Amino acid sequence: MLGVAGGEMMIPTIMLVFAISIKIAGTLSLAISIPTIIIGLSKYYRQGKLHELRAERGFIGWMAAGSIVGALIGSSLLPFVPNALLHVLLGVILLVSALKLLSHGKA
Amino acid sequence: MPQAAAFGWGAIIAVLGGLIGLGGAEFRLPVQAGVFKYRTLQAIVINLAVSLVTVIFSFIFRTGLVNLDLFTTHVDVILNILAGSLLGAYAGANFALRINERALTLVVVSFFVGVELYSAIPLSKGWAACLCPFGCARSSDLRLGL
Repeated sequence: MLGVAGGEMMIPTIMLVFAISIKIAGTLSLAISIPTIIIGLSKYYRQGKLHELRAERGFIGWMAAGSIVGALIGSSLLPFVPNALLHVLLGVILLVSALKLLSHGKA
Repeated sequence: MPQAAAFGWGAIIAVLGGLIGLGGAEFRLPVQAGVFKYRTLQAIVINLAVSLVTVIFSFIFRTGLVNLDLFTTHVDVILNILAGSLLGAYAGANFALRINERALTLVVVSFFVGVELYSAIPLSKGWAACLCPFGCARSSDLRLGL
């Protein structure tokens, strides 16, 4: 609905409910996100929303290209990053997101 | 140069995606709204498209590096969460189109409140350290359309 696959919510869920390590949980979360995002996009496609964004395809293409490079960098770093650091990173991301929401709600 | 900015922002956000296992939509949305001046619904759809690319490539790169037996070992987890996710994504995408953007913002805010209350329940079990970010995770999901 919000254009978000919910990976940051799925990873802790998988870790806590199924007792799986953060690296595997992250990969599983990605696997789950792929069909979820496709379903979401297909809905927008049928409503003609993707067509309206044709003018933006240059922007989307560049951002997607950057994303492929970034995904490669991030994934390549993974074997060298300890689980503990990933926990901290995820925790900080979630905390910042929550604080932003809080300040947005007040504004 | 907007192309370079789009490429750079995409890359920075996807590094986190690849590292943690996120699509990165929650970081891309403020950038698209703030830096590139897209409207909410436009940003959501663009974000979804870029997220798909990020998630597919992160997954390909990570399965090469993490564990190939993933599906056979954890197929139950995948199916379990997928069932709920697909229903939610389908229902949600449908709903977002029928209400106006102001109402969408209101929905997001009220979801946040409800979800925070729900998330607070397990906190009492002494999981505070783990579940604080967990609760925030849910709320962060819901703020992304703002």
